[in-house]
Amino acid sequence: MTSTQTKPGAAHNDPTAGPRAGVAIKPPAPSYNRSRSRNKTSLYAHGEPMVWLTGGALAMCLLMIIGLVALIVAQGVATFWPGPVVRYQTLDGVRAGETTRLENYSPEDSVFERLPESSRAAARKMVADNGGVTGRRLVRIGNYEITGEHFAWVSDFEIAPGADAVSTPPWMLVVERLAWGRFYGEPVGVVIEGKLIPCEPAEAWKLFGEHHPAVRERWEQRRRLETGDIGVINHRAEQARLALRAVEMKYGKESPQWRAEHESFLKTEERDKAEFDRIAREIEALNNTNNGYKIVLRTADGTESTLGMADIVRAYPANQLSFAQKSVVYLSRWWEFLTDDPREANSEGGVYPAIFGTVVMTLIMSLLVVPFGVLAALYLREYAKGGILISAVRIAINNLAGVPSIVFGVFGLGFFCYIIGGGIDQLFFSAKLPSPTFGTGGLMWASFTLALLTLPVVIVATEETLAAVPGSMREGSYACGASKWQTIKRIVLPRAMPGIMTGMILAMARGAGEVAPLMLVGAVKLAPELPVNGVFPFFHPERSFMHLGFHIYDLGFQSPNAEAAKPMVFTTTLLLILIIAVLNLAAVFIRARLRRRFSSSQF
Amino acid sequence: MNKDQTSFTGRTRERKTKRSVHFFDLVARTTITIGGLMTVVAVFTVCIFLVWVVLPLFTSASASAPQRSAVALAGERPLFIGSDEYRRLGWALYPDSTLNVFRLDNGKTIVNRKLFESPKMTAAVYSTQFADAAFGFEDGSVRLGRISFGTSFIESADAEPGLRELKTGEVVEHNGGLVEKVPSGQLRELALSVKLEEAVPAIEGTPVARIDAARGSNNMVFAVLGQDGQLVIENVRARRNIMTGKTTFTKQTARLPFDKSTHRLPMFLRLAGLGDNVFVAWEDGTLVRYDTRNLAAPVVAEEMDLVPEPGGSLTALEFLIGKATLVSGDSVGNVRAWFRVKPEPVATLDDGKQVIATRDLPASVASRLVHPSAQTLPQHLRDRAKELAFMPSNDGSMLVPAHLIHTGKAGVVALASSARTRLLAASYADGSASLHQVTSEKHLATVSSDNAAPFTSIAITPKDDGLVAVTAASAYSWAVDVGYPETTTLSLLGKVWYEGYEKPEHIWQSVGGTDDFEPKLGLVPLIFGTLKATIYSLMFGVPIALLAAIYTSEFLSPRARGQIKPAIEMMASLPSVVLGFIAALVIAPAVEGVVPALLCALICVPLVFLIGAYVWQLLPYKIALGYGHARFPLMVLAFPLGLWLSYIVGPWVEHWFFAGNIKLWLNWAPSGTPADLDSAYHSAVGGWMLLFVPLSAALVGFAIMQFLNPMIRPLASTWDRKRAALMDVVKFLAAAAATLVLALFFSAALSAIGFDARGSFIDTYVQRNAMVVGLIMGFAIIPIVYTISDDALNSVPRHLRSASLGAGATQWQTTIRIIVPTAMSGLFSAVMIGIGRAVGETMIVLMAAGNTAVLEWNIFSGFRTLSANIAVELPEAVKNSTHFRTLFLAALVLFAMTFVLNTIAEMVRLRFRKRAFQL
Repeated sequence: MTSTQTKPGAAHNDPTAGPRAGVAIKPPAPSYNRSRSRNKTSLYAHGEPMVWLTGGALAMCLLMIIGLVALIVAQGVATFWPGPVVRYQTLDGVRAGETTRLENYSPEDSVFERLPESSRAAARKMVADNGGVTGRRLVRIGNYEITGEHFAWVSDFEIAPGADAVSTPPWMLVVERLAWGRFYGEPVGVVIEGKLIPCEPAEAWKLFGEHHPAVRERWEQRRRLETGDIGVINHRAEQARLALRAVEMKYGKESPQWRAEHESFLKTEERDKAEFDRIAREIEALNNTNNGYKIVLRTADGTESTLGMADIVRAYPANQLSFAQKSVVYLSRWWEFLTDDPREANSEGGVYPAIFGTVVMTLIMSLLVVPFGVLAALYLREYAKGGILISAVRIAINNLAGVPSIVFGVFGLGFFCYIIGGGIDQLFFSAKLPSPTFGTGGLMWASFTLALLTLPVVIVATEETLAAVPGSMREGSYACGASKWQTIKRIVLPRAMPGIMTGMILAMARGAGEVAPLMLVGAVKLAPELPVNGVFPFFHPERSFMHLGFHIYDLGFQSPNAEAAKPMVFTTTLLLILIIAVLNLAAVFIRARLRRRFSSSQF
Repeated sequence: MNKDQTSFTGRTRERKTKRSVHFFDLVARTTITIGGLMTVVAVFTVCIFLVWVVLPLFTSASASAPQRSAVALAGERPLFIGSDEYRRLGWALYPDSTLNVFRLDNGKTIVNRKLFESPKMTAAVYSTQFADAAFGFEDGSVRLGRISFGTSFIESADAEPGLRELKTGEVVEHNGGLVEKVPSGQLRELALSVKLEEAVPAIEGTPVARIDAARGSNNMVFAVLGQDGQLVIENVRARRNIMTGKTTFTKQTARLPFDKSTHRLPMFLRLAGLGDNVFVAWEDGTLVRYDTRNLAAPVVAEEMDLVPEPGGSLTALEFLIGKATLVSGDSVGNVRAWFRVKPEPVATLDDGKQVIATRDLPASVASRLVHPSAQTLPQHLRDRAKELAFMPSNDGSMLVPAHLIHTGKAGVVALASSARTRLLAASYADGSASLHQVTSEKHLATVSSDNAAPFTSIAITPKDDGLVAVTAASAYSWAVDVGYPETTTLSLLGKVWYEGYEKPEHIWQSVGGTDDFEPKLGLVPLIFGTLKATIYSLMFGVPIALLAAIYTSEFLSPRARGQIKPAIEMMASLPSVVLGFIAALVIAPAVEGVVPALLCALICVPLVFLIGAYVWQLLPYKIALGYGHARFPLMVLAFPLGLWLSYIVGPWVEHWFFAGNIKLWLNWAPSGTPADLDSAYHSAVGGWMLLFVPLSAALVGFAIMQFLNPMIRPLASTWDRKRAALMDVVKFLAAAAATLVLALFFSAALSAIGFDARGSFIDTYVQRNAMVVGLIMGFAIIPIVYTISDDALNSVPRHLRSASLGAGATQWQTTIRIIVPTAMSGLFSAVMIGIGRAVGETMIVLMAAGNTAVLEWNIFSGFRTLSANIAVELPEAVKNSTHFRTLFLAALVLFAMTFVLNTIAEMVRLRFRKRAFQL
């Protein structure tokens, strides 16, 4: 759209106008002024101050947009870069961890009361000399099981005097764990096959590096067994139970049919139990092997703690990494972010299920919205007789594009989930009631709701392109003896394709970014299983799902450890914006490409 | 050719369209028509469905025809009646302690036994909410008990032989209860169970005349009135020894001041809540309220008349659920609901009584309040004595008749409250009975007896789905569908007087902690929040978007326009959840520290642009013209400059106008003492400046345009450009100074008179507030308003522009006199669509507005919008409950608001387009 607006304008602009192009939208004016030696136009007539106010408004818009995007990109890109672990010797102890941000604040008097008696006066003076303001840093101190906190503020005046009060100990490891957040400490020993080997940090780190991958491999294997094989058994057991319940509801308990079904149910149960025990033994064996591998870490204040290697996702000596090594950590974090499940109440790990949910939902939505949108547009433009009614319908459809998305969410919940879904449950899934199958929010209903929400977008876009197909082409086609449908199929639709594609992609972009209705019809903070998996029937449209947009809301507002979740919000936001930007750019690109392809065949 | 003619056989060649073509054409036509129509219909289903869900809220209740049954009743008036939750059985308790259980369908008595033989029962009370009963005896002892129906289900197979053969729906009597086969195939057994606890001695040597009881988690409270006039309240704490299994009672007793010589024995004794108040009422309507929160020193809190009508007498007195609202019925036919309110006391009199004064009470209440003589009042209240209504109270609270359910019928005979909601049934002397919701005062149903015999006792069934009543000879039962009694148009949109509130208010509070919590579903605070969000975001977004669109379309080079416009349009597709999270987690904390700077930015940023313009004017004409395209980069630079300037000025402004700390200044409230005047926070100048600087700027600007410019213009035409520009700078500086002085003058004047800006559009600061939302939501609506306005400006026919410029108008003159007026309707529709966006925006307000449903314009406080409220509450709302449907109503309101706005915009736009083509 924009590229075409530029073209005619640019063509209009006299290339000889040169540097004056900025003012010279009206070519006659400057030449008129230039031809006179004295300017007779009053200065006030130029309205320079008002022009500056209008231009200023535009500048503000632009700068705010740039600032916003820059903020998200900067924060999102920088999040995973490993920072140094700094050790602060404070007046009342030792703090070590990664510094997350700096700020200035005016401490109240009660802050000083908490300091040791001897150093209060000095701290007060230091702050007073600085105008009552002091700097402080938020340090991610981790070691939650020891400190009881994930983060701590360290103010300037709290840092003990002396040159070595702030240091970066070379062997401080950053340990990312499955639970309890990060751990910071120096390795002072490892446990290999149950035997404790006390050793120097370098040696311990080397041993850790040798054994950790194997331990993680076993852990992965265990997880596969748990989610895969046991999941299948559980699913089978549930199916058998439901089948039994269905028979019971149909024929009554203790009826002959029920007895037969019950017999087979018991058989399945027995067989499954044997298999379950086998897998449980396998898991137990893996766990036992893994339990023999541990690492002993000494924290900054000297406490020693033993961590199981299986629980460690990633560990690195932050203060002696080269740029290349840092890049490896950085990329491996991005990889984890994009491909792994979330952990720690979504504040660590990845967002793979959310990406998956967003993409699948958007795809189903577009599969639904495009055919119906095009049908409606074809009807309105090609088949419907014009008249007040049709133009009223058109205005109404236009307006629906402006109806708040939450209203569609309310409709989706009430109509799709409760009425249609409830009806489906009554008919086909009555064995499972009262726990709903389709009668609650889920992937399918979310897609339906968003399809309805984006329907006006597609209808309006398609109608516009249909209107843009020249009537002469239709008439030409009819003159050649083509029927109406042949004309539409062979002439109108191909020509309208770019517009339809654009409408679809714009609808996808809108759908992918919409959150409010999803909160009502099925987006959840943590979905136990993906809507597509290896268990028959492979695609489960009734399941609730995770969504990037909802993930942002959940991380930012419902996370128990809000400070730790903050970096993740920015990366998730960056990801979502990238997806939407790519969709939008794709719309522009496809439109331009198709337009070029069809413009050559125009007559 | 020739050959062809010769071979002409006389037959025209028939080209037949293939059948398949016709077929596919038909198929396509049918599919597209049906599919298209279905799609269009589907879109409209949204609206229809919302209406369909909402409509039941406004439909009235319906009562079935009565199920009447002659019961062999004792003939006298029962103390209490009740029924089971399936409306199969009823029970009645008579003064001689006879308990009668009868079938509601045929009136057959199933059980008829006397609960107490000796000692004789002399008083009893029953509370429907917990099915609790308390009995008083002639020996002065009391017993707690529980009268309730027990339900048990038996599998058909396990039942006794006689019961197995029952058909579904068939009912038989069995073991003092009823057995019924339910559709699931099971047998349901219903039986009344009466559990009695041990007797506790309450008063010595006199029979219990009146009794009421309340049960706490590990204690029970009795209020007991003896025949001899002893009025005692007892708090009995039961402690069970786990080892021995023995229960020991510790008892705390208080004797309430009660003088029988002046009063006859009261008709009613009621114990509120967990025993914090005792009410004693006489037949003539006199009520004495005791405050018994402190059992060591109970006091008479107030004395009043429940029946103000002359000649009326009190006939019934019941509690509603929660035992805080007292409902009185009188012989005139009025039913009133009373509860305690606690207005701010204004003074304490010499005798220790607190004076409560209020103007907001309805006249009916105010007339009851006394005007203390001027001498007893403190000095500062004497002058206001005429406009205020006063009443003395010993505990600072007062009982007010919050709801009057006036029926104008015969006198009230009996009252009954619901066990789960605030429904109330009343029976009248003319043989009718009616069902009401007390808070909304909605009349739900009226039923009547066959022969105008009054119902001596009435009860609402446990599930609120029916009524049971008895006359002297028969028992009646009705199935009643109460619908949604809490909501009326008035309760959704008007002020409602909720229990415990000082006066009727607009409140949205849908969920509460306790079982007897009453949902408060007033939509007004939410609609207000939506308007507040819209207005503040429009104030920020619309001017910027419109000005930016004007510059883009009229002053920007086409090349730059081709790059900038898509960039801003791209913003429209930025998910609002992203903006919301930025607003709440980045902007809100950042803004909190620089509020004065931000306020200054409202002035500084435009100021910097204006300064830029005046400096630019000073440049030689050739340079100004030649480098005209360089203005925009300069403007881009000016914005950060303006921000930096306000960051520098901010602390100074805070120091001068806001006593050094704007948050403390905003929070400060006068204490009413002379020390207020000396407080640094007393001056309201800073607050008013926020309002008056923009107003004065507009005023000064207007004055310059109207008066100064016409005077200068003839002179200016003789000046050369440089001189004119210099004069312009002088004029600008003078105008700026005049603005400041004018604003200061107005602010100081208002502040001196005693008007404080605090409490109106500025007040206490909260982190997530309307200012932050205004900024970000303004930012969110900029792209759409900008795009539509720019399109409107651009579609002004090119020849109009050329004609104007050709006639010698400058570009600015053309813009402001030709383009903008022509495109005005397009700009208007852009703003309307922007409003539509702001009204429905959900995620930004959900995340950044704090979601407190308050009714204040304060820009520094949060709010709750319709949309955010739906997003928060709908996932938890019980399907098809009043709350659920009210949230659907909220969605419908949103739908209607945006639909109307968009339709207006669309119609104006179409008109504009037509006009633009005509030009």
